[in-house]
Amino acid sequence: MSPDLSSARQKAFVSPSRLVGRVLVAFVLAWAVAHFLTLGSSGWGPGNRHDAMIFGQMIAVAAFPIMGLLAFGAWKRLTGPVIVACVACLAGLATLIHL
Amino acid sequence: MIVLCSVLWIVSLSVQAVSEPRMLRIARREAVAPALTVRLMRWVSLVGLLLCLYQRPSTALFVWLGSFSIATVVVALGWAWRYRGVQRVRRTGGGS
Amino acid sequence: MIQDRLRTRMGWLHAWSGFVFGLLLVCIFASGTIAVFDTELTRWLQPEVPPSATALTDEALEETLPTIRKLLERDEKPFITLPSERDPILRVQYHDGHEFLNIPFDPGTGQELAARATVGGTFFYDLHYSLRNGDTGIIFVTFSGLMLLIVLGSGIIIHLKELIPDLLVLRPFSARLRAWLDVHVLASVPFLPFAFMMAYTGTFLHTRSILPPVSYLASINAAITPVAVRAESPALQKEKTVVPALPPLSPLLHDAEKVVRAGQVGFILFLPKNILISRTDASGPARTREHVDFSYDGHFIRHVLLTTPLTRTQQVMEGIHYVRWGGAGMRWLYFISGLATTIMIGSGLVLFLMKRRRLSGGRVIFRLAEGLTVSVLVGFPLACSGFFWGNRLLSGGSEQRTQEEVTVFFLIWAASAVWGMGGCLMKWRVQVWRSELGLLAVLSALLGPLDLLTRSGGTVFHTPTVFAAVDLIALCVAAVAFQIARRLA
Repeated sequence: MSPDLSSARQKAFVSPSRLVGRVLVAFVLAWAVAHFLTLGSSGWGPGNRHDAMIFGQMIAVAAFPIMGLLAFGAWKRLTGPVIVACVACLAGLATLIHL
Repeated sequence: MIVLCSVLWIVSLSVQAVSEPRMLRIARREAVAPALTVRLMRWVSLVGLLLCLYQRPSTALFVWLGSFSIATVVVALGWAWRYRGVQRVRRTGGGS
Repeated sequence: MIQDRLRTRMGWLHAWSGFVFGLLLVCIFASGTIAVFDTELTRWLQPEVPPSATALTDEALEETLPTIRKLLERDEKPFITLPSERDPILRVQYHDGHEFLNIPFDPGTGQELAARATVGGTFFYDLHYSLRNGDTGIIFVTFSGLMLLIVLGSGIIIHLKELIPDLLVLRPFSARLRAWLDVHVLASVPFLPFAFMMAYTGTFLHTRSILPPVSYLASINAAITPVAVRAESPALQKEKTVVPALPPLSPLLHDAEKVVRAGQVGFILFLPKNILISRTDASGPARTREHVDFSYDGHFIRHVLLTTPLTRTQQVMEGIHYVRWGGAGMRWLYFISGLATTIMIGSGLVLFLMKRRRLSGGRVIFRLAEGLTVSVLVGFPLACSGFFWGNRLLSGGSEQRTQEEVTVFFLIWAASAVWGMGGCLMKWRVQVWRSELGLLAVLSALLGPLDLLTRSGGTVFHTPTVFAAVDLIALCVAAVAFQIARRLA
């Protein structure tokens, strides 16, 4: 077997310990998105802050699994983690907004 | 209404099962092109949705989807029961 | 090594997260499924209370006031639940920190009905949302709900291509792994809307416990501070509650009915400063908790109904999770769907073990995992069955009776877990499954006869619906447990 083929085949496999690492990264990123959404949402409602917070929680609960699966599933070229990290950054920055 | 909706779903899903190649393979049955009226029966469950909406709009979707779930289990159990002999024969044949 | 493809990655995530959280989720879903009929179960658990009663009278309502006063003096927040389609009895209830305990009254005469003290169906409700562990339990349950969304999502991704063709496939007589896989798919795919809805709304109900709207440091600080303040001022705790004179309730009820419509009042809650007359949760999918407030001197204070679009959405989400509306048919739909979801998680646990038995069956960690699986899949229903037996066999006079019922439940569960894990560690796998399933079959099958023997005036051919339903479901559980035990290799 040529070394190129062998390395390509090795690349096509992943060890469970690496997958655990990926799960942890995906979890942290998705959790950051959900946390920033709930944290910032109360400042986004110009009128009733309670309503805005409830809305933030609704989005956060839906966003967590989507972000988690995206970060873990689209690992090739780190597309998923990068996208989720960007969303987390945006959500983090949005916590500074107070309407 | 739940019972009526379930019956309509059972009819609809049974017609779907009869025209599904995978289900026919399990039953070792030949695929036959169903008649137009039979094919139309697939959509009979929509009548159930309309009846649910007419009777009580607030619960319509819940009743319709819930009866779909129950009907699926009923049809799957019925199909398995009907063709259990075929599966047993296949299993014995595979084992020998 | 695992192939680095989307489906295999998701399969790995589905299997491991499904197993780890599935052990807890089985208990959450099973208790939630039972809690759908919590009110009806309370009636089964208090067989002394007649199954039907006359309509509510104003006099009966006034007769509950001395009991209310006693509870207020004990610093409880009592409330009266009015007779309804689900429960024709007038009940005074209060929360003991875990369950809602109740004192039944005849709605016609107002006479207190001599019934055994029981934690009732709300025991399963408390177990469902907090694992009977207060805030810590709520955090665990909510987090598991969030993880269930991930497990469901990954399950859909790995099964996306065969979602429709496999919808009706069930081959119970084929190879065992194939048969269990079919059961898993059949219990999941058609019930996905239900599973998603319950996981999402259930997690949303207590999002605050895991995703607080303040930074984690601040919320930890807030959790600690009130305790410190209380510790510094013990004098505050010793202050005796002064209960004001209670006003006649029927005029207040009739006034409230003018606002929320006649027959729409669910309960009357007694708070330290005022009396709340609240709309029943059975009035519609939105759990509005609309209430009319009165002072203790009988004056109208305010009418509260939150109507902003987001609050309405929140109310609907709560309403469709609690399913206190829509009648008995809707509750049966929820019950069957909850049962299917429990089977989905349970069959997932069994599949996880089956797939790994050949390679890792001898390892201690595997045997421990199998022991845990037996403890939740069989041990939990066994404990539930034992709870019903305990309710009927424990003596009625004891003051600690409610606590004894709970102790019976947890003792049986603990014994089942010890035997399950110990037996699996000793490589008595088949014996463990068989013995626990056999015991479950016996206890459940004999629940009906026990009910007939311990319920006054009980006959086989004239059994009120709530009693018949519980006895028949127990019989079904016995039949399933017996069949599985029989088919075990």
